[in-house]
Amino acid sequence: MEYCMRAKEVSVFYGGKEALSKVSLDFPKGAVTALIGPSGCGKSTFLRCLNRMNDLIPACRVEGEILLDNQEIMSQGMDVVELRRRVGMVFQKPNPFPKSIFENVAYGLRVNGVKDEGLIAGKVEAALNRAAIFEEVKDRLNDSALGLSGGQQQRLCIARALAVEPEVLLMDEPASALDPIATQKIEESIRELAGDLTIIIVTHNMQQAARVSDYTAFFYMGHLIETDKTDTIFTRPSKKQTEDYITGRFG
Amino acid sequence: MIKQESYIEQMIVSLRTRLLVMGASVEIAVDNMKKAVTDLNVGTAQAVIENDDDIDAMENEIDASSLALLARTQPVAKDLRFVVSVLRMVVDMERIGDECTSICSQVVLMKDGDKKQIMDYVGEHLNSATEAFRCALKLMRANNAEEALTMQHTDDEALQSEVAIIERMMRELECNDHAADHPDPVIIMHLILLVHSLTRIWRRSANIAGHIYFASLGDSLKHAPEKMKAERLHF
Repeated sequence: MEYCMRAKEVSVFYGGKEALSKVSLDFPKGAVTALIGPSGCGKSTFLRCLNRMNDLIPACRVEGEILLDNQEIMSQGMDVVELRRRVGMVFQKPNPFPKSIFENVAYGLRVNGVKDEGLIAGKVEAALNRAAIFEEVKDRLNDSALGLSGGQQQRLCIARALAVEPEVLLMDEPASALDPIATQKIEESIRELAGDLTIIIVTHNMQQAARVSDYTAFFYMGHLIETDKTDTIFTRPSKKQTEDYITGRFG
Repeated sequence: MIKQESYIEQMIVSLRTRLLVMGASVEIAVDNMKKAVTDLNVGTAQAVIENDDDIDAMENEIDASSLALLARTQPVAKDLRFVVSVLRMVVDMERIGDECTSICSQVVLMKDGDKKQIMDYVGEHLNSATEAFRCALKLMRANNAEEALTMQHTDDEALQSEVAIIERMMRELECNDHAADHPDPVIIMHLILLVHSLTRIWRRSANIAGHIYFASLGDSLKHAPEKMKAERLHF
């Protein structure tokens, strides 16, 4: 199996407190991997390690090794801006910029130095299409992104992440603030994008993990308890802690 | 981790209770069918036939409860395996009820037959089939996966037992033309149908054991005896 990212014995400390303990997890290329577990288990902390978002948190220290196509992302030589282009991120709450729909998607391209307006227009349209929102916004690309519904704003944020052609997309509970129809559209987008893109999604919604992911990893109290194919995790998990969590028998 | 009662657990307990009630009802049908065959008792046979509608109704009720549970709680892991097993087990139990009805219909048609001769042909098979169901029910109550695996292997034994009985009947029909205890061909015809129904009860009981194993450990034993037979032949 070909892996896009590999984490080896990754630990995270906030000051003296260990939030994540020696997590080793590989992400198959083109697959969707869901990270599940109760609040505070370390799954979002782990997700943020994958594009060094934890660098922005004072007193946060990361140990271990994370490889993106065999390149160590925590090394001194890694360009963090380039890393975040290759490993994009979509957050829990849609966070469009107070700009037009078009400029939201074009933003990443401009930051990365693309100046050709024709090229930018083509890439914006392609990204909006891949995020399955182009048909809904094609006649109002110059309108403010803030006028879109919550679900549309989230898909716009996905388009914004896709415009710079990342290899990996990190999603931190991307549908938790959305209604069921908007959630379904996001999930359909995830399935459409899988194959071309490696997707790593944190979710509290067990059914969502079961629906969208190929692999699932269960975290508990800063430890990776179990990881396997999603079909296996949701039909016959090997660890009792995993079974207790996914069946709701968890205090 | 602290275990807590949840809505899904309550629904699972309720479904299990309904399954056990259905099991007890089918057990009564099997016991009465055995009495009806042993004594050629038409009254008991007719009671089994009349009560089959209740078993059918229980199957429908459990189907509806299982569907509601799936729709409302989207169970996973052991809960999902349990619901899937219940949906399979009720089909087997309902068919066992049907087989009891078929056997009792044969009893009504054989009411003037020779009790001793009939039991001589089918007594052992009757005991084995009813014991298989009793055993499956016991495993279901105890949720005993280990013994369920052993019982799954009796499927082949049921077929061999049926073949041996039919071969004996055919042999005696052909060879004892003038003997005083020559079997009545009409009774033999009823007995063949009866033996076939008993085999089905035995094999469906083995199926129930397979479902118990699946619910507990997640491994499917479907068609396992055929696979094992093929492996034996291969080597």
